[in-house]
Amino acid sequence: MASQGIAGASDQDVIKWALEGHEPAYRELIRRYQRPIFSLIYRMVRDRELAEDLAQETFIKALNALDTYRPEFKFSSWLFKIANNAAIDHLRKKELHTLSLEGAPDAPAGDREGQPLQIADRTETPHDEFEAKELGSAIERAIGALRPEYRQCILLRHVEGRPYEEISEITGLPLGTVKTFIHRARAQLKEALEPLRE
Amino acid sequence: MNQMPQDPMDDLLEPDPELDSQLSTLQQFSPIVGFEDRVMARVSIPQPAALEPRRAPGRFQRLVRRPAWALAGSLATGSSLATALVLRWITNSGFGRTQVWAWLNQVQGPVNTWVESAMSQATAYASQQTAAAWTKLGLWAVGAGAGMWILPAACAWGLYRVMEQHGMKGTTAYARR
Repeated sequence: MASQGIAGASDQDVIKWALEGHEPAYRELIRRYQRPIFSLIYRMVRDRELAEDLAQETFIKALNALDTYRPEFKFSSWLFKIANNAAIDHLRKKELHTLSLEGAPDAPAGDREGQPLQIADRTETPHDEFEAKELGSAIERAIGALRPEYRQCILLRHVEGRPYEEISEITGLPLGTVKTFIHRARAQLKEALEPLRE
Repeated sequence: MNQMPQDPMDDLLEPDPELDSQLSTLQQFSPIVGFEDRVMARVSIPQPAALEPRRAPGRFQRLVRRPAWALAGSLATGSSLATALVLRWITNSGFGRTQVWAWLNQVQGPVNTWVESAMSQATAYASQQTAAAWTKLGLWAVGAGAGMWILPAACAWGLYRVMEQHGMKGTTAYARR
């Protein structure tokens, strides 16, 4: 494969070339998917720096295990699955951490009530301001308020334009569940955006 | 990216052009410049030379790489060859069936004697070894029996030492733990 033709080549051809030890093929895969993968993770975790780290981990994990990729599946689905798992794992860990800070369920009654987590008053840094602008629109805020499971489905459907079957494959959820989640997510978004409608 | 393929499920979803229009404004974000290089710094690219043996090995090659299969194959081939050579020798030496049977009967006598002798020697050796093993086991049992008496005494002594170190204070609390 000539390097000038790599941009127009199919994912499968690029992967084949990468597995033969060609660095430009690896770079091409990153160029193709860095924006969709980063966007998905960013909207899931809503922290630019963390999203960068998770997106980086996703690519490193995928590209180092490229020989285990099975060509009968779409490469994009495989990559999105890794990214989605990374984001969901992070959110679950964060949730657990928050729970443990608020008091373990089996702690003595006095402790269980838990003290609300005291967060120091932080002034908005330029970095935060940048994020607030990026994710500050009404629709972005409404998406951010969705349950992570709903959020992943709606993002894959409406930002990445993935068909339901592929979303089911990426998220590991049954097809019916994916459809239900998207339906509920749309209903919640509609409700959240209602006050803004004339 | 926001152009979605037609899907039958879209008909089931409540149509909301306003929501769809807002969703269509969602754009993709880009990571910070240098993302590609940062990823590539931690990706190990296989060397073409290292890939050669991995590239679609033939069935025979895969089989040969397993030592057990290779050994079994060699043994099977060797025995088949030996059998073929013997058969060929018998055929070429002009032996008829009667001559072969006569030869086998002639050989049978000494072979039987040898097998019987080997069997009796093996049986005698096995009995001797079994008797020796039982004797050793008996000795060990005596030793273990003696040990069984020593063990509680050692435990009691250890417990006494521990309690002594704690000045015999709070002995009951210690025991309750």
